[in-house]
Amino acid sequence: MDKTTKIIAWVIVAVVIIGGVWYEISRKAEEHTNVLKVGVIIPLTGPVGPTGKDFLNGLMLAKEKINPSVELYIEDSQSNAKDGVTAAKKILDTQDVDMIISLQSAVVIPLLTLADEYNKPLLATAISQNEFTQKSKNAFRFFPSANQEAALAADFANKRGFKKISTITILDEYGVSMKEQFDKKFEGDIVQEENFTAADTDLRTILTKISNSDAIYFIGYIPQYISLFKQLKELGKDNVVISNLITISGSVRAEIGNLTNKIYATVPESALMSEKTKQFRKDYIEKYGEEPDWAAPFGYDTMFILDAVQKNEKKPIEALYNIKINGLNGNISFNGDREAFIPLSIVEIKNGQFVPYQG
Amino acid sequence: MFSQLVINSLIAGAIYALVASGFSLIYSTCKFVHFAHGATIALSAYFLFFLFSGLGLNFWFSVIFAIIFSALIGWLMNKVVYQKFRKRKASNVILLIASFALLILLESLILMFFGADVKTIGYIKIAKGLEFLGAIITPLQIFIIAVSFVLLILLWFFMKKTKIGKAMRAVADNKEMAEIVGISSKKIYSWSFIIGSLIAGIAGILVGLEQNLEPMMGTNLMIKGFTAAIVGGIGSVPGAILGSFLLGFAENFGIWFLPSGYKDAIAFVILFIFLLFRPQGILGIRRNSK
Amino acid sequence: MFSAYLIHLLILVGIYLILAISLQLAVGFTGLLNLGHIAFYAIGAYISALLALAGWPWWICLLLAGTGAMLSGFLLALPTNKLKGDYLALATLGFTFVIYAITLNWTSLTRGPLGLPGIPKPSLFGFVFSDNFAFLILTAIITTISYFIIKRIVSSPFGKVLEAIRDDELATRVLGKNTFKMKTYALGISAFFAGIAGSLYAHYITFIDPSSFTLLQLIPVIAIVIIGGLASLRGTVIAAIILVLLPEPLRFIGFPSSVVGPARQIIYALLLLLILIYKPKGFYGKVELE
Repeated sequence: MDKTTKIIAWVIVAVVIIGGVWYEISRKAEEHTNVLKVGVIIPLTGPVGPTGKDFLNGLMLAKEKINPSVELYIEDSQSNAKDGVTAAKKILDTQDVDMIISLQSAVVIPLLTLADEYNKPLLATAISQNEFTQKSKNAFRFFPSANQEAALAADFANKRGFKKISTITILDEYGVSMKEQFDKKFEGDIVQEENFTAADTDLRTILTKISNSDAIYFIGYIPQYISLFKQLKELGKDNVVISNLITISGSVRAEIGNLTNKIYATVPESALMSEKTKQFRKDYIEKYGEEPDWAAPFGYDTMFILDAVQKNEKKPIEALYNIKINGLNGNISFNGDREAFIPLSIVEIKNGQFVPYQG
Repeated sequence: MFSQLVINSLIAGAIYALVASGFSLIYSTCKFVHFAHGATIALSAYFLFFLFSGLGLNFWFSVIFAIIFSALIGWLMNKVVYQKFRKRKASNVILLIASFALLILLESLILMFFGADVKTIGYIKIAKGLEFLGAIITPLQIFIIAVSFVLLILLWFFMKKTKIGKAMRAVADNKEMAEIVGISSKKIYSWSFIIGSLIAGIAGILVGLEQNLEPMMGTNLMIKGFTAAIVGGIGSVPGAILGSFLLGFAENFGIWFLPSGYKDAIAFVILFIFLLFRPQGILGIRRNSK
Repeated sequence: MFSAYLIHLLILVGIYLILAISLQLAVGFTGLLNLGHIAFYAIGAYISALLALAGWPWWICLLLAGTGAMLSGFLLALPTNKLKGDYLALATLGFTFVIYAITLNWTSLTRGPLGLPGIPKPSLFGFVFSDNFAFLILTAIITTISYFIIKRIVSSPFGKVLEAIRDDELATRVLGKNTFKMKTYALGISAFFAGIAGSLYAHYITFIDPSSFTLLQLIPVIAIVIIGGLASLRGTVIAAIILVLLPEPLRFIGFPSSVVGPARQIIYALLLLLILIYKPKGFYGKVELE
């Protein structure tokens, strides 16, 4: 190409890059007070995008309410590790954040290595893998761990006298941890183990293969739940389904409609109806015009946790052990192992609504 | 159990056939791999969603519009992008890469405007399927199988009996000869895109109703449809259909014996083996060099 | 502090550069349209990661990553040797899918979708490259070495034969050259460096999973190769720098995060399309895609 065009092209490129750099640096020129700076790396696009947005909405709703001295730097992990790590590096390198929060096992696990490298505490939601908090002193979990959640489900199955269960779980860290823990605690036999990937929505052949079990233990993301219930109905299968809190997600329940299956799920307090959660739902709908899903209360509580950390005079990594809040998920505090015990209970889904399971 | 597997295979095969036949039609006349066909499928589904669930228009009206829209998109892709390459007598390798870039471009646009979450077109009420020879099949699934059969018969009829169809086959067989007898290959290319994309539009709508929408649906379907076309014989529309049903059966019966995580792997391995050892597929004729 | 992010970007430039010049060797110089390059990248990454996690010294992991990828390059060259043009492109594309399926399903080796976290940072003679800046130096050295090796190869008589094969394989064979052997070497060398790039990537991000190595990752690489210009190493370097750095300001200029991801892909796909249409030689290319 001729020289003039080349020069012009170079100039444009240089301007764009320099412009972006300058803008970012000028953004940094703010007063550095006692504000808690937090990097937020959550999925806003990709399969887990809706969950991330829901979480963020909850976080911002709380921010509005209590107006804490917390500054958030939000980046999209795009539901995958590579983009999550790149986004996190950007924040860790350009902002002097005090801690980071993140969501989704696949991203959280590599982020932990980064967090260690930069020596910042990582507060993670939607991370089930048991060993997570043992891997580093920066790993804090605000979510039921696999052995808590799956154990409760297995316990329920045992109490109900189920002897044979088929597991249908997603082939990623989340699904694998849950299935492993369920297997450990379930006293009966797992007669069949089926998997699917995040891109799969056709569960029909898997469901056809299932026979001869008292119940199905299912773990996946929202698109697979929708397929599951739809296809269970179409195939006329009436197995019992045991799962976790994603089951009660609004878009999933809409599919359940009036299925005749018995569906049970392990859910945190934030999913049940109480004065607190009713008020929360009302506020959420008022601000966003739609119903909150399961992740929003976690986002909401997280802001309260951040507020408590900011107010505590110790460094964040020490402060986290000392805070106590009363959130939508109950009384939250982190024990010596950096786990926050989230009380769970079993609900039964009937006619598109869920009620606490009695007995 | 066996009959359910057969039914599942037929449903999958029918969907793949809808994807692969349009793609093969375009390949047979235009002689290049139109990856962006997947984008046509996705755009059709999302357009239906936009009209029906977004704007609240009448369902059948939206369907017709979506189908016309797909044909239009296909035609546009040819006119705006591919024709420019043909003017320069670019090789079909360039067209393949361009088509690939086009697919990514359009899917990223869908992602940007509609977001990453799964969308549903809530027209069909979910109900238990009908029993048929020991298997369960829903009305929509029966419809899909029926539509694919009807469409394929129509396509056969079109190719064999109508003027344009015959002209297409002429161009597919030997472009130079066809031009000598007065057929405008440029017009035929346009027509193959219009018809191929129209079929893609129908595929998009049916898949959208049956399996819901997500931004990567085009690429995923394209990989399967493409595998089916290769297996059956790329450039041969009946081959594409044969390949589609074979693929449907291979996948569904395959994961009866293998862990279900291998479902996509089955398609990939079949694709790879055919490309290496029998690239002309079952019914295709081996092309010489370029 | 900002310089730390720039360091991160430069490391990515280095990795993409190695990927691009190795692909350039195959595509631009030898005329082998290898769309399976990402598979070599993946193989290198996994070999390096698995060995490192098992405690092997880093430099051995690096070299074995390259070697392993090279062997798979030889392996791929065997059956694809007689394929041309788009069939070759498709077969190599199929290879990407097969490797993806293997990394996803061979869970006892690769942990499948769980991926391999905690890959150790490189260490040499007791010095650990834990600091980003140190890693940048390492990457820069490896990139420079790779560039010079490939440059030597293409300027050598062997390189001339490769270009002859690209221009007219039949003639080259008539002249007595064993084109099959040459093409195999070219693909193998190309794969070797892709494997090196894979190793660097794995040790930098410290986490890999099957989804890190899909078709989507090919778009930036192919774009760099074509936009920079075929058979031009200099063009590749410039294109790599520009294409990796160009979308980054998008993050800074108030675009919502949900837009930045797809926007990058759109930029790459659009640029690729535009270059293919209007400037098929790229900026510094000597030949067009054949």
